[in-house]
This record gives sequence, structure tokens and C-alpha cells, in this order.
Amino acid sequence: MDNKLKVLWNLDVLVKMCRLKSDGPSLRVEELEITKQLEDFQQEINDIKSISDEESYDSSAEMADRNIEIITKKQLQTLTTSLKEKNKELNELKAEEKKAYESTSLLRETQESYEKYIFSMQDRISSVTDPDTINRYNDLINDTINKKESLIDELSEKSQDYEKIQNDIIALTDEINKLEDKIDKKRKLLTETQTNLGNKENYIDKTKKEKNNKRIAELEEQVEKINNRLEEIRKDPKYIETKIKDIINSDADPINAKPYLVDLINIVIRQPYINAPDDNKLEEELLKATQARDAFASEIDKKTYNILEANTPEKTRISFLETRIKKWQNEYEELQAKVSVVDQDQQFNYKEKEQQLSEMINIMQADLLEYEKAYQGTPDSNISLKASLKVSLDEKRDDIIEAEKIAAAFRRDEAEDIQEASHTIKVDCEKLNENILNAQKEIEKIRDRLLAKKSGLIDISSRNRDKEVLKDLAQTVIDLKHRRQFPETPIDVIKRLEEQLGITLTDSIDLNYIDETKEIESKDYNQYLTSESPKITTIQEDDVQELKRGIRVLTEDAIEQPETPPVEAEIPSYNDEPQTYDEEPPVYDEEPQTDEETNQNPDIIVDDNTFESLETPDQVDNIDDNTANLYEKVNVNDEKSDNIDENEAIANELDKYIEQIHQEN
Amino acid sequence: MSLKTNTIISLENNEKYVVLNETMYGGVKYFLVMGVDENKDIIPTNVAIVEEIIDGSDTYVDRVKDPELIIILTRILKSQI
Repeated sequence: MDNKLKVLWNLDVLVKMCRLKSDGPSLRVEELEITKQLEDFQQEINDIKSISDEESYDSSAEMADRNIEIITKKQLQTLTTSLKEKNKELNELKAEEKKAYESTSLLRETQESYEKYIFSMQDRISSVTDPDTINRYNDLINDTINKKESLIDELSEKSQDYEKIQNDIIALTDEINKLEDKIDKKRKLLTETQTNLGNKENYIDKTKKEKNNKRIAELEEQVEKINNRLEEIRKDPKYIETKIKDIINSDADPINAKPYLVDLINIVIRQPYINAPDDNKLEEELLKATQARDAFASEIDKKTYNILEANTPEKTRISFLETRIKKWQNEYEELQAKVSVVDQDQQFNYKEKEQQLSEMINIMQADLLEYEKAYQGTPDSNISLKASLKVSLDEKRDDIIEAEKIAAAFRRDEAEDIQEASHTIKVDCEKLNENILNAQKEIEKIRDRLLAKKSGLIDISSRNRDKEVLKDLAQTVIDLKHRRQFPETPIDVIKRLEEQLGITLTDSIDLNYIDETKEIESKDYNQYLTSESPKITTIQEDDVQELKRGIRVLTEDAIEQPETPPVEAEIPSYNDEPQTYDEEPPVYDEEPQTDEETNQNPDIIVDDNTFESLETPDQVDNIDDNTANLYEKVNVNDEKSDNIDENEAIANELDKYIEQIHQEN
Repeated sequence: MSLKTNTIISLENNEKYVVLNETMYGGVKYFLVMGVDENKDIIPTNVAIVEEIIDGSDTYVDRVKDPELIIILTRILKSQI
């Protein structure tokens, strides 16, 4: 019994590692229902397939066609006979017609000969004078006229007969044509009927067959759907667990449980981080992931997702234009400063130079006057002095002219500088101004277009992308927190199960995958931290805390768990053996649906030290039956709905707390 | 020794709190605590968020007073409830 409980306990751990919401017994019931449903559907499909041809056969239609065939054949026979008779009749009429034609033709010829005869005799009378001859001719003419009249009567009669025969022929031909059409139609009908009779498919009710086929397709679709569900159920760890439990509880050979165990293990080892040991590295990864998640969540909170701030081509263009505007503005200011230097004569101090030169020239002119006075005052007799003064006087004049030229050169330079400054203002600054205005107009246009968007100003795609990233980060935290709940890795549990069941499991599981995933590959979380976010630190880096001291925690006591009677009657040893609550057994948290659900049910006794104490398989092996019972008991407590109300109350208190903080500030 | 949720902590100033929830923010662990009286009955109006400070083998708690931080932490803690 002990061994069985240990096996079941280890099995439970593996199943819990898969963190599922499903329920094994319910899945078994569902499996039964689905199997029954599957059989029903299959039966219906077979029934439809087997009876469809017989049911759909239209025998009355075949019978009708058989009758049509017989009747048509008989009709054809009658019609063909009739046609033959009519053709014979026609031939006789045609012979009669020929005779009548010949007869009338002969009469016409005779009539013509009579007329010619009468004409010739009348012609002759006009040229004969002998009365006898005339009389004879007249007699002949009268006689011939009489004959002719008689002939005409006969011809008229014969013509009428001929006409009648012709009409009869026409009528008979029509009749024959109609008869032939009728025979053609009947022959076609006979051919069609005989073709139908030759192919049985023609008498199958297509509408009924289509309906049946449609039903078969529907059923097959349902079969596929429930087959998929059946497959899902059979791959569900909770379902697999029930199968294994059945084998264990029935004391059957554990080898029968091996395929199920292998399936379960292959699911377990593929859970994120599950193969990594529960050590500081895992804690560190969790810390980093939590920080990244919170920092990113905070960042998202701050984001307005305003379309004008989103990373769009428009933003890129606006940013570029703004940079250019800034550059142009700087250039403009530089030019203005340059011009201002010229305007205020701060560049070369022309005014000062002009004054200096003016003073110098004045002095030189004063000197020149002195020289001239000296020259004028020197007697002509003193030729050498006069000559010397003359030279000095000329040189002074030249000096003054040169000084004037230099002053003019300065004025020219200043004029050039001023001209250049004017050019700078008129051309360069204007050009820059124009550039700035154009860029500003373009920015305005882009903004107007974005603001006019019907979908609003929210950059939905960016927001959704961020949500996805946050979801991934939150999922990582959930995965890590889930992993943290277990002091061991699946392989530790597997090895214990091997010993307890006396079977080898490691030969059928993907050990390479376990090796590859036992080291946590830390993700780059820094990308989710902003400059405002604190730098990710490791657990060891707690120097920040050195500066602060709060109130010392003297004791930390676990909340006492109210005693609960055993739930599973199938474990009888629970009541037989004394409970040892003092030695708190290992208890796993209810698997979290989200990371937020982890560690938040105050009703659950959670003692992390227990995990720490369970470092070796032997220690786990030593867990007594009470452990299993308590484990079950805690699971039941987890399901208490009271927590919902309690959590709501805490949430309300938190709201009040925030209000209070606001009021205090 | 780090604080754990679902425990009752007794402080040097004789106050007692039940540790309801924890979160990590900016590399610092914060706990949502609710006051309990001598009989270990919850005082619902006495809710606080405390920062955990570990100094060697001693653990200290410091009540968070920065309103902005409280709002952030409350948001995180509330989302976990």
C-alpha cells in the first residue's frame, strides 16, 4: 500500500507539473460518451451507405419505360405499315397523274391542230371565189368547230381530273411527311427509352441520393471532430493519470502503465523551465522577468498610443523635417548673427579704423601745411634747404594721397561686406525661411491627414503589439512561478517512479531534450526597461537596501490550517495512522491559472522550508500516507470559493487605501 | 530570511500583520499586508504595502509612503487578486 501511495503521489506531482484545469474522471466520462457517439455516427453512415441504392431505386419509372418501349414499338409498326400504304397510294396517284397529263396534252395538241385547220380554211375562203369551194370549206370549218368545242369540253373535264389528282398527291405527300415525322419521333423515344432501360443508374432517385450523401458528409465531419477531441482527451495528462491509476489500483503488471507514463512524461518535460533545477538561477530569472513585466506594464500605462507619436512613416518624415527645420533655423540664426556683426561693425571695426585714418590724414595735412609754410618761408637763396623741403613736401603730399587711398579701400571693403550682408539677408535667409515654411507646411499636412483618420487617433497596431509583448512577459513569469512551485525536476520524480514500479522509463523518453532544457537560457529583459526603470539586479545585489532600515520582523508564523477530515475514502491508512502536522508535509500550491494567482490564497498552508527539506529522492520516499492525504485535503481547500469574496474585500480595501493616500497628500 | 505570503509577521513595534501578497518592482520585494490583532483577527482597515529589507539574517519592513509608488504597486497587487 505504501508503495502504491508513493507511486500515486509521484504521479500527481508529474500531472501537476503539466498545470491543467481538466479533470480526469470527467474526461473518462467524456471519452465514453464520445466513443458511444462515434459508434452511433459510424452505424448511421454504414446504414445510409448500405440502403441508399435500394432505397433510391425508382422501379415504377423503369416499369413505365418498359411500357413506353412496348407501346412505341407497336405504334412504330402501325405507322410504318401506314406509311407503306400511303407510299403505294402515292405511286398510283403519280401514275394516274402521268396518264392524265398525257391525255390533256394530247387534247390540247388536237385543239391546236383544229384551230390551225380552221384558220387555214378561213384564210383560204378569203381568197377563193368559187361558192362550192367556199361552202365546202365552211362546212369543214363548222364541222371542225363542232369537234373543237366537243374537244374543249373534254379537255376541261380532263383538266379538272388532272387537277384533282395533283391535289390528291399534295395531300398525300403531306400525310406521308407527317407520318415520317411521327415515325422519327417515335424512333427517338424508343431509342431514349431503350437507353434508359439499359442503365439502371437512371432509375436511382438523385435527390434522395444527394440528401444521403450530404448526411454522410455531415456525419463524417462530426466523426472527425469528435475523433480529434478523443485524441485530445487521450493526450490529456489528467486522462493519462486516470489510466495509470487504474492499472496501479488493479495491481496489474506495472509494465502496462509504461506507455501511459511515457506519454505523460513527454508532456511534462516539455513544460517551460520544468527541467531546470529550482535554484537561485531560477529565482533570478523570475526576478528579472517580473521586473521586465512590471516595467513594461508601467511603460504601457504611460503610453498614449497617439497616432502622432507612433512609429509610423509619417512620424519618421515629421521627425526628419523637424530636424531639418532645426538645422535651417540654426543656419538662419548664424547668418543673422553674421549680418548683425556687419551691421554693428563688430567684425572689422571700420569706423574706428576710419577715425584713426582720418586723424592720421589730418595730422599729415597739418604737417603738410607746416612743410608748406617752412618751404614758403625758406629763402630762395638757400637752395639746398629749399630743395630738401620740396622733396619732403612732395613726399608728404604723396603720403596723404596714399592715406586717402587706404581710407577709400577700407570704405570699399566695408561696402562689400554690407553688400554681402544684404545678399545674405535677401537670398540666403529668404531661402532658409522658405525651406522652413515649406517643411512646416508639410508637417501640418501630414498631421492634418492623420488627425482626419476615421479610426481615431489611437495607434491600435502598436498597442496590440505591446499587449502581445506584455502577454509574453507575463507568460514567462507564470511559467517561472509555476516551475518554482516544485522542488524537483521531472527526471527526479521519474527516477523514483522507476524504482517504485520496477520498470524502466528513461529508455523511452527524450533525455536529450531534458539535457538541452535543464539550463535556463536567460532572456534579454533589458530591452523592456526604460531609462526610468530600475536596472535589473540579481538577488545578490541588494546594496540598495543597505541605506534603509525599517521595522525589524521578529517572527513569521504560518497561518494555522483548520483541521479537515480526510476527503479520499480510497486511502484508508489516513485514519489509521497518527497525523504529524508538526512535521509539515510538502504541499504544492494550487497550480496558478495566471501568475497573479500564485501565492495568494491565505487559506493554504505553504511552507517553503518543506520544499527545501525535500532535496533527495529518499526524503520524498519517506513521505508517509498522511502526506498524501493532506495534499488531497489542501487541494480541496484550494477550491473554496470563499477566496473570491475575500479577494474582492482586499481589492476594496486597496482602493480605500489609495484614496486615503490621496487625501493625506 | 525572506518574507512569505500566507504568514503572520510580528514586528519589533508589537504590530502584527498577515502577509497577503507579494510583488517585485524595481528589484525590490513589496508585500501587501493587513493588520491583525492579538487574537489574530484581521483588521480590514489596516492595509499597507511594505518594502522588504534584508540585512544579514534580519528582515525589516518599511511602509511605502511614496504616493506614486503606492499607486503603481497597488495596481500590480490588485491585478494579482
